[in-house]
Amino acid sequence: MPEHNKTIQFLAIINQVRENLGLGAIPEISPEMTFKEDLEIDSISLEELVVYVEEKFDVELDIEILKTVNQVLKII
Amino acid sequence: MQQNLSIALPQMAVKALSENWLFKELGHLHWKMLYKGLNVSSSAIKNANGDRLLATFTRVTIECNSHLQAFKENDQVNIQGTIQRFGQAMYFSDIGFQTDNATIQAALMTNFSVNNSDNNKKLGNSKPVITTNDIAKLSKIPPLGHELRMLKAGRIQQLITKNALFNILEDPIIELEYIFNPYYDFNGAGLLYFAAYPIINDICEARYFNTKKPQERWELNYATTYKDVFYEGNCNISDSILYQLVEWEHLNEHQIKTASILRRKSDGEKIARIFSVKTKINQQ
Repeated sequence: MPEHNKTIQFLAIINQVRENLGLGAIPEISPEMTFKEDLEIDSISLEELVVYVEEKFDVELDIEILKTVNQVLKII
Repeated sequence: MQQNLSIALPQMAVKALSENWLFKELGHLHWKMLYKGLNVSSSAIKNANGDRLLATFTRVTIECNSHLQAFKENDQVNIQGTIQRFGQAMYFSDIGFQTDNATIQAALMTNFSVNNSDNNKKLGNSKPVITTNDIAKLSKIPPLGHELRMLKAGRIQQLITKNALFNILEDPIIELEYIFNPYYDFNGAGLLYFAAYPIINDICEARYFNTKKPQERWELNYATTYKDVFYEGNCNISDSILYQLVEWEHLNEHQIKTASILRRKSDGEKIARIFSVKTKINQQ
């Protein structure tokens, strides 16, 4: 899958998780964005995001160290 | 999961089913269903680094069709439970207790945490390494978990339950300090036991209401009908708890709702919100 498509699909997952939290969609992501501060994704929702990413991209994420968008982009 | 139990004195307190025993038993049943589903022993659940993982209760609700005093000595209880998961880290169980006269429906939610230090303030979320998982999968986070995250994020102003509508408030009506009984409040892993939170709440609540009405004994006159504990943190044994009653109201002539916050005294951080409905025993 091309890199750009993966980023778009990951953005869709982030927006799905944000919508579940009652937050609005964001138009784009950048690698340095943090889940907690920049994307307002709490610990339960981060686990939700991990489940969706792992299912979509068939990868494994380590939730213990997961802080930034870049950590996911490098794996998917 | 299905099993039977005959209620005897170890399961009772203050002439009712012991809420402390009930929480411990519910936790034990949840944990048993969980590690049976993972096909390992409880101590073998580890993360990718080989660290032992602990099941951390994040929300527990119990709801009685009457109240805990409706459960009597020698009553035969039928217990049935099921467990489901969202991903590999979040587990949700529903457990029912039924006698000829009374029922309790409980819902429990856990995730996994790792404690790499002696500091109970620094528990981190983790994920177990799993080879087989026989526990049924959920496609989305169920309401029990969704309400928890919305409440923690400050995105709901009210908690609406079958029993009462609770306002999510911060300002305390009163504040009391609770000094730990380590033999009772801390579990085998050295953490403040999830089953201790509701009892710490009830001890402090009784202190308050017994002061308001010294001629009555709160613990003898009111029994739990509904309890909902949202867990947000843990606490070290050297610390103590600040109990803050944030709301209480008569729902009708024989029921009272209360809402409270438990905080660590050392840093003021919230470790739980507890919502409760109690029924006046001699008027039902």
